Amino acid sequence: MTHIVVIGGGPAGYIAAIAAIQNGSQVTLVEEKYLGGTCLNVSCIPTKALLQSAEIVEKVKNALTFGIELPDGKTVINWGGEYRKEKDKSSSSSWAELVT
Amino acid sequence: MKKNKITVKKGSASFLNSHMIVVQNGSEKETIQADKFIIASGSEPVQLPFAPFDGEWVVITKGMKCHDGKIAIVTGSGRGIGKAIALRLAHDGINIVINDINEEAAQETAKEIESIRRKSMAEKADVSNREDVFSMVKQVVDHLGQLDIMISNAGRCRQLCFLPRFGGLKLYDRIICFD
Ligand SMILES: Cc1cc2nc3c(=O)[nH]c(=O)nc-3n(C[C@H](O)[C@H](O)[C@H](O)COP(=O)(O)OP(=O)(O)OC[C@H]3O[C@@H](n4cnc5c(N)ncnc54)[C@H](O)[C@@H]3O)c2cc1C
Repeated sequence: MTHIVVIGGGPAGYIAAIAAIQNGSQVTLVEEKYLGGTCLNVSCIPTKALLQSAEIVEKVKNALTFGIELPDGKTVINWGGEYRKEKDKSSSSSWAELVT
Repeated sequence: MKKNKITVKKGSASFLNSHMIVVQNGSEKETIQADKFIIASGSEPVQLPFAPFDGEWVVITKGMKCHDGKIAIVTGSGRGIGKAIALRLAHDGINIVINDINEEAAQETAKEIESIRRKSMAEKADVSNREDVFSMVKQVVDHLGQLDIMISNAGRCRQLCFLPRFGGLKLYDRIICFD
């Protein structure tokens, strides 16, 4: 059986690893930081999540135009609590379990 | 190694030779031998054993931005796109020779380049004239000692019609000379 080593667990690396294992090779994937690579952990996905947060702030500020009144009128940004919990749930730590 | 399951190793991989890597995780090291390697390390380059990053033939993208002290001529850089190219290169640490047929514009751009602490000189030369170009390059090498980058930006395209009454072949020659 061919043993293939993939260096890097980003979109390029994990797709290569999945394709290789589907083709019957033995596969070792080496990743120095986070599985999912730049895209999942620091670029595409987190930036779009931030954009979504900004859009929500904007919508909340304009809530009245949608007929919704927010009595204290304040928007407070809180990256801890529920946000943190959700983020941890979607983190890449369980990724290796998914690609069996 | 389980069948149908990808083995994931945490650590930074580097090649020992063409069929072996070492994976370093903190103080732990593990060597892995394989039949094939796929390098998918994104913007972090992995050095191949037979092609070390020497900064000359094999450069990394971050290294490519290291232009400090190089000399570039940008033709037609008194204004417009040429000037924008010159300023951009100057911001990357390159010293710029501003060439233009309009000497005043060239000198003004050269001053602007100097204001961001790069060396600059204005060289009036008509790039459609071979002698002018040769003497400009000689001047630059004599004064600044080297020429690393040449950007042929100057160009001309007034009319796209080469019918005799619009300039004919003379106009054609003039445009081609520039390029
Ligand atoms: C701010 C930003 C926003 C972006 N937004 C988008 C977007 O909206 N949509 C989009 O399509 N693209 C986007 N991108 C581009 C996208 O992130 C990249 O194209 C994609 O991540 C490239 O995938 P990759 O697998 O080649 O590299 P990476 O995702 O960078 O993965 C490489 C992996 O290799 C690992 N690695 C490197 N060297 C070694 C080594 N020696 N040993 C072990 N592991 C190593 C790294 O830790 C990394 O995890 C964005 C990029 C940035 C910077």
